[in-house]
Amino acid sequence: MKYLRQTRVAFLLLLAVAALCMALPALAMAAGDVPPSIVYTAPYKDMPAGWGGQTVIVTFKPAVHAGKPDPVVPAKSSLWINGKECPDCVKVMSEASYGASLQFSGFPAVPKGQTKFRVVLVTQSGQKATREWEFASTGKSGTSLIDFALMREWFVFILKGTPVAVYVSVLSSILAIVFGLLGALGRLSRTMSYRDAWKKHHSWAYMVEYSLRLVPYWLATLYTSLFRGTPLLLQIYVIYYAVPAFIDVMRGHWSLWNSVPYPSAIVSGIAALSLNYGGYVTEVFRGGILAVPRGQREAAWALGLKEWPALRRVVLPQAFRVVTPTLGNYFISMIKDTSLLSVIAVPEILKRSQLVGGRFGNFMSPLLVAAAIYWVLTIFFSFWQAKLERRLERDRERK
Amino acid sequence: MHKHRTITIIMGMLLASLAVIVLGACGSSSSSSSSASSSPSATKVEQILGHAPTGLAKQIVDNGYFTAANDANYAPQSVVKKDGSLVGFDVDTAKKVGELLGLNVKFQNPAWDSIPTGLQTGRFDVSIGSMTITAERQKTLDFTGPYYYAPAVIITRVGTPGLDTVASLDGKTIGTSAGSTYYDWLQASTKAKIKSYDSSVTAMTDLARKRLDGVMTAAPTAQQAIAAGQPFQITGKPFFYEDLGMAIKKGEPDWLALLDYAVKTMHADGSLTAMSTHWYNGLDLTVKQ
Repeated sequence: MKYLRQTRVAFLLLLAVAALCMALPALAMAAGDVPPSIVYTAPYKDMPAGWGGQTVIVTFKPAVHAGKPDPVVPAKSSLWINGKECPDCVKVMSEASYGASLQFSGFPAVPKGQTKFRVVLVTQSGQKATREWEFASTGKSGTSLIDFALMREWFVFILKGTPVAVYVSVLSSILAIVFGLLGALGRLSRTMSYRDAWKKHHSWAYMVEYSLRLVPYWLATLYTSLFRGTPLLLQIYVIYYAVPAFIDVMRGHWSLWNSVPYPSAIVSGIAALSLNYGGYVTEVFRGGILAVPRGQREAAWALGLKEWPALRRVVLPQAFRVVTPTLGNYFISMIKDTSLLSVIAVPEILKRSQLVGGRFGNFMSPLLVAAAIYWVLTIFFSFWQAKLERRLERDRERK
Repeated sequence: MHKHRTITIIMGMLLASLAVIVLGACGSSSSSSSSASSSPSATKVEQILGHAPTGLAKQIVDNGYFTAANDANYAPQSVVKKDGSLVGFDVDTAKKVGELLGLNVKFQNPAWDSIPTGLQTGRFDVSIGSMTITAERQKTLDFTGPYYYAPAVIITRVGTPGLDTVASLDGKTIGTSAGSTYYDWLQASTKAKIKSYDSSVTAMTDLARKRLDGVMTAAPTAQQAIAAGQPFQITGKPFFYEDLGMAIKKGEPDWLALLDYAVKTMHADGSLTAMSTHWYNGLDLTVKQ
């Protein structure tokens, strides 16, 4: 117990120091000092767009000194990456309601792997804030317009839009052919002009009957004029947004319409595409039917075939050979026009690439992937179209 | 012979149109059935409103879900995952609203400038996509109270002088997304040359290629892009803060009341703050500055 007195003194000293350590901040608080606090650092785990490897951002709440907020710009700020300080980092400051942000850039490329970051800020009043964190760097440095890693990673996601695009194209093509056939028959049903009709019968009753018989002709002409005369994109918007409004108006009058659902985006898209292309197919079929020599129809009639069987068995098969190349082109064109459905949120190829581009802030790379997919689809279907044409031309081969 | 052909044509056209309608019935969203008086969401909604819901609110409760629209071009408000699902601050907010009202949520992400049309024509029930509340928009849409606030900044290329005062914008070419509050503000308050794009992302691409002097966008969006490697900088203070709310079509007081209740509750119980600090890595954007 020889050193009891020293031990007691040491213990009291320790206590005093501890008390001072605890009191000092309280004293500082009482004096109105609040150190800066770092609230946000980037890069951080699970960033949606990943880290570009070139910028470190630190957001902090400014310090308070003697009851007044400290100037936001720190007296000293340093960044260490993997223990190495960044000597001539470019530092840019900005402010917002949630704090002041300091952006560090200009440091050498950070290699792939677990990276340690350390930031120290010293304010004008001498108060300090430090933060250390880790991040798994991918070794990326900057964004390039063509980011192969991004394209590889998200290729399958964009590819998943292909079934939708093909499904929409096939259905729209079938409907377009149906509309086109009807439209062509309607357009072809006019055999004489009004003047000729008047010359033939000189009777108003006949003119009225003749006008009524021309209704399909006028309907078909209105149809092709309207749907070839307005842009496809416009038609997509109108059908998608106007039809529900129309249904709502109808629901206001007849409760029966409550069981009519709003057409979904895909259905609206198919309707728009098939109606639009149907207008063009109408003219193609009309040309194809007119290309079949009139002698064929007359021969069929002479053989006793009525109008519809003659059409079905004699005229249309021959017209088919004429129209196939054009229809094939329209189908291929339609596959690419499905990209317009992206504006009404159909999850096809272009929409998916836009979603990826929006997430990573890099549109070019996903767009290139989408372009490649469309190109491959086009080549694939062109190949089948060529095969079909060759098959149809077989009887024309000279032996 | 003529009569035959005519009738055939007319019948054929009718058949074709019928085919399209039947197709529509098969491939479209469910119709509004009415059997909601005993469902849980109905009672919750009635409690909140104090009476049975009417109009769009009634339709939504009958369906059991509402459709929320947002534009998936802005991380971290709305980002797409590999499996096609959406996550983000706006997405979580919408799900929380659904939770509070006892409804399911369906998401749609159409082009940004067609969202108001979609709301007016009943395609979507609400836009929870960080839409700024402006007097202009309030002429055609109804807004809830703001659910968060975003500062508007102009970003520039690193190494060029920052554009953070109105005076510095004279004659500069600034890009922004069409139909946004940034566009309106730039037109009204500055002498800058404005170029409009379909989203901030395409605008930023042009900024990197030196076709623009700056891009005006929300600071959190900009910060994401910068951290992702875009060679830009944010300088100075924000030009203004936007109030971001949920938009619905005009003339639906019950639906608006339900959404306002949801927003107020989310502010009060801290869930908005929690979602903000989660998605913005520690920043709370839901508190008015």
